[in-house]
Amino acid sequence: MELKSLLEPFLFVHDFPYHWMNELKVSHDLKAIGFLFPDVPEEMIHAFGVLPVSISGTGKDIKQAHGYLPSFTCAFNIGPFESALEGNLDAMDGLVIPYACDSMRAFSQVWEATFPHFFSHTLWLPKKKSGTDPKVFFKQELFRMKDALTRFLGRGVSDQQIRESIKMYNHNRSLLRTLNQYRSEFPTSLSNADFMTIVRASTAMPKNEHSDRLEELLDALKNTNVETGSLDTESSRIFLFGTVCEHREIYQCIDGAKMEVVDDNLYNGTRYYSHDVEENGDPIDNLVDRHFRRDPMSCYQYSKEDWRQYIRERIVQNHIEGVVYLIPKYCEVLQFDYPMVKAVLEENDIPIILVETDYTSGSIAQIEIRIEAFAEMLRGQKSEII
Amino acid sequence: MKSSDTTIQTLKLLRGINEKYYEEARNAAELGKRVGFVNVFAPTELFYAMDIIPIYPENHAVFLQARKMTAEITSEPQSLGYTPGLCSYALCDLGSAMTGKSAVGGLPKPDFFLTTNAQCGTLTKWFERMSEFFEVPLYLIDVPFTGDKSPNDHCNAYIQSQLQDLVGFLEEISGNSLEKERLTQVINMSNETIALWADILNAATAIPTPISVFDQFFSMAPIVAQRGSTVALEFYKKLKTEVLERVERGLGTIPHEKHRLYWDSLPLWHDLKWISDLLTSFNACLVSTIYTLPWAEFRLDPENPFASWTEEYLHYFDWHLKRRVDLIVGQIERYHLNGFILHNDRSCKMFSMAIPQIKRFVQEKTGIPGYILEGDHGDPRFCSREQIEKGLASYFEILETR
Repeated sequence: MELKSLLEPFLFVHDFPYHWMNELKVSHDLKAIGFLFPDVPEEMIHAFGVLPVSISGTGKDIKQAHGYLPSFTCAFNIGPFESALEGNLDAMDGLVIPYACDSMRAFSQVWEATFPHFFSHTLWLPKKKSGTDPKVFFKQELFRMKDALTRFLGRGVSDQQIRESIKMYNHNRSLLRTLNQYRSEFPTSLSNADFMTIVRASTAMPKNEHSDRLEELLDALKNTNVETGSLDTESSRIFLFGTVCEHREIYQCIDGAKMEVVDDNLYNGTRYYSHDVEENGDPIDNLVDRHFRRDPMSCYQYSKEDWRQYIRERIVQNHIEGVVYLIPKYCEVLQFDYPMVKAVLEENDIPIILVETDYTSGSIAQIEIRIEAFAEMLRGQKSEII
Repeated sequence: MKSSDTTIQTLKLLRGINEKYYEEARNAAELGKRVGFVNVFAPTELFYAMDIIPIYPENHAVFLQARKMTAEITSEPQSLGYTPGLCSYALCDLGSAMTGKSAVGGLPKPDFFLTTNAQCGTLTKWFERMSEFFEVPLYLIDVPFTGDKSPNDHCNAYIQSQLQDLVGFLEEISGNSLEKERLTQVINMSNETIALWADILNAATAIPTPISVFDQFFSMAPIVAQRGSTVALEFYKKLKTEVLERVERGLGTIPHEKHRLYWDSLPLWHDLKWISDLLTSFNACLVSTIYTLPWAEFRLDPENPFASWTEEYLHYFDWHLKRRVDLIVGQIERYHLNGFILHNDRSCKMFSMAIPQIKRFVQEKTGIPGYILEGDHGDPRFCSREQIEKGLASYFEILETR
């Protein structure tokens, strides 16, 4: 089978992210619970026998949602709101909203008040990541989420069912890591845009289906040496810093500028597939353990020293040559961290470019120019060294 | 009405009170005291009981903004990569720290920072950057969002545990132990001060109102920063006496009080006189606001203050949409209001996100029209006088026809 056709299932989900939710609702009367990034333990939702689906909607033209949310609402909140108003989420039965930032906190209230017919649950993510108190608290939070789903769905879930979901998700994460590793060894194998699309699809497809399609793709890549990427071995190796980026056009800009995203800290990037959950023992304890093993993120409390250590490790480990700092418009947490991250990178002689986006196609032309100029600068630095 | 009748004389004491407060903070080391930079919703009584002077960067930013220093003072942080889209309080304080410029004669170097995400997440990031700048520790009280007041034992336990841990943190920094007897004394004085503030706000139910929201804005600094001290207690005793006299004499704060309004969210600190004069030109008086209300409602149990602080952190600072709707509906009835203005504050995104829906729900419940004022509490670059003038003119036309 041609590689292009092997990518089709993933590209299809990119274009129609709620296809599976709609399809399974009709064919199997399967319930679907949406979730917003970040760090919602999907495994728990899946264990109840429902389909977890990431809800985004970035890049949409906003027509109705500004009647309900101010103009300075970030794309990750206004997008899902617009989708719901348009009726695109009618097949969704509920939404889990993680309290990660002020925007999400306010969004959860407006969402609940505006769409009372949806099941809605706000997951209170602790901001602290060290000490025992946050772990004790988060464990209780997972029990609260489990109880809320039990009440809504009218059925409980066993530890064994959660373990089985964890196992299925671990397998999928392992495949994504294998693909990323393959890409790292053979940069010409897969474009940035295609890789992102495959990860994105994992958040909206049935997990088994995604893993099956991914195994087929991995076999084909390993057996045929087919190339779909536009990169070459001279591509600059960059780290993509931000929160969520599922806008294919942004990755295409990076592809076009001959840069390879070898690492990132995105919720729909490495953060989505890096950390497995222990399969044996108490599944709730294991989900808590995974949460606190994750890398630093702007919505949690970390010291500058924590960030310094994390950034240095990633630079060395992945031979990073530059950082694209992608700020969703109106995202205060990333705005506050930018000068600190910039200073840490300067200590390491790593260039950084700030790219602000509202994820609409209107902002792409400017992003393309900025990213191309950054790539040019990185190439210039390389040639000077050579 | 004479212009002297619309002015509250006690407010003239504030300048001296504020100057003395900041002067003492600058001399903290000589006085054997420590200085903490803390958010406005903090357990202030704990600091006074431990000889720690609390400084409130939010209050300091207000002084900078009221003196129209925003553009000048935010240029330094912006040159380092802080974007103008951030909260203007944060940008002003970062600018002050970086340049040493101040509107109160300068701030002392802090020994620590304390904040909470219950008030807003912006504060946690702002204080992270500030504590790095000053190279001092930051303590965060991490609070889950349970603004709907649903009872949750694990949330209570999480906050109580952090508050106990905070005491250890403060004892280590200050070198002082927390003594129950002294804490109880401070709490009793704080509760008395809070009761006075509640009486003062309650007096605004009178028609005409003896104290406007603008007067409340001016006079709130001591209740925020110095409750638990004799300075604050004595000031509010005098203020209450004068306000009640004004009620008896039927004195209002504008010449012709025709419209009585509620104000939601933060003030326009950079343009208070202008917006006050504009509203007066429509014979409109701001009578009630959410912004000054919290300090009238706190009450600490002297026997178990940690339970009271936990309750505050968990259920009070965290204004849920439904609670805000209920509050405005209640204030409209209690204060005899005929309109409400919701400040859609670009600098306070968290508090503004729900505003379109709050307006819709309050209108549905009361039948009273509201107005969304697009502005910024501290940065005039994001606030169009012309747009506000036109908007309010249209709004008062609607109120006039009712």
